Amino acid sequence: MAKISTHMAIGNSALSNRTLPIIKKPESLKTTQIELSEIRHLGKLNIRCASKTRDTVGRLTQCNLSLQPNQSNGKAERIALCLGPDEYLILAEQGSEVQLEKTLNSSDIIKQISVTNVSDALCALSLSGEKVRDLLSKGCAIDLHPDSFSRNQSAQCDLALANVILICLEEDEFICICRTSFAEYVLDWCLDAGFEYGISASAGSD
Amino acid sequence: MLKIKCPICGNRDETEFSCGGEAHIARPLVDNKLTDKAFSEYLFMRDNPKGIFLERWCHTSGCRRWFNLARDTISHEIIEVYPIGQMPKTAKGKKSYQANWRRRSKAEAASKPAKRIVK
Ligand SMILES: [Zn+2]
Repeated sequence: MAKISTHMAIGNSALSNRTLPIIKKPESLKTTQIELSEIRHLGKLNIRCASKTRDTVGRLTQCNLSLQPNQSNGKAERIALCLGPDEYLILAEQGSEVQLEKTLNSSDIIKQISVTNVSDALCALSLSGEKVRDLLSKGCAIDLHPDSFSRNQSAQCDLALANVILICLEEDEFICICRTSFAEYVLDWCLDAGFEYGISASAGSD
Repeated sequence: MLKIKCPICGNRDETEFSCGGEAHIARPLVDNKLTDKAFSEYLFMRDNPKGIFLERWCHTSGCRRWFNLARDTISHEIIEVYPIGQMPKTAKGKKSYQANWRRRSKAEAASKPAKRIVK
């Protein structure tokens, strides 16, 4: 029987062809101050809907969508982000996005909204640690001071020239969503920029 | 580098945006007959004023939404940011809108239904 390469296997993720964990730190540091890991197989749905259908979409997806652009509903099991006046991104538990998509597609508002499953187009990286804001500030022009970028806020911006969505969950806990094809680039950039603080990257769990 | 205030995301660096050129270019309606010369003015000619210019910008790396912006091409001062489909509200912006040669072009007159064109 032909051997299936791991790269093709089901359950593959954005950082599958990297050997993880990787730890980068100066010898003078005892521990790492930043933890990076992939949130593997996180379901992601992009939804376009106007304000009149917003509450129905919120009810069907069990998310509170009364959000301003660049705001998220916080550290919930199912995170919703508002990307623009009529655009939302829902981060759903692994596997649940298919059912969510079906529910929305079979609802009677489907002609007024658009639902796109972007689970594999985007990759979610979890970044945490007390130096995480310092790390992100090296490649991101937006003000990441806790006073201006705090819990439940998100931003679509550039991180080291890669287009990302940053979500602030806690003071020192972020999710960085990038294109799957950019995941290794973002990982390498983080490992390089985070060296001085000590950074450990792990594959993450499912 | 400009700091541009996206109507949705707030102040961001210019590198996150892309400029879509001159704003308020109305497409002539197909029912209105237009000479090739007048149509080519609509299609190819763009204003390039020294002073206030009304431009379209897109927040490409952010919310990906378009908006209009009145900018001084000498000082790079941003006079105002206003939504797509609307007119400038500041006096300088209004003046720039009126000063544009396009306001008196045949193509712009032809962008409105024919019965409203005064011959
Ligand atoms: Zn924006």
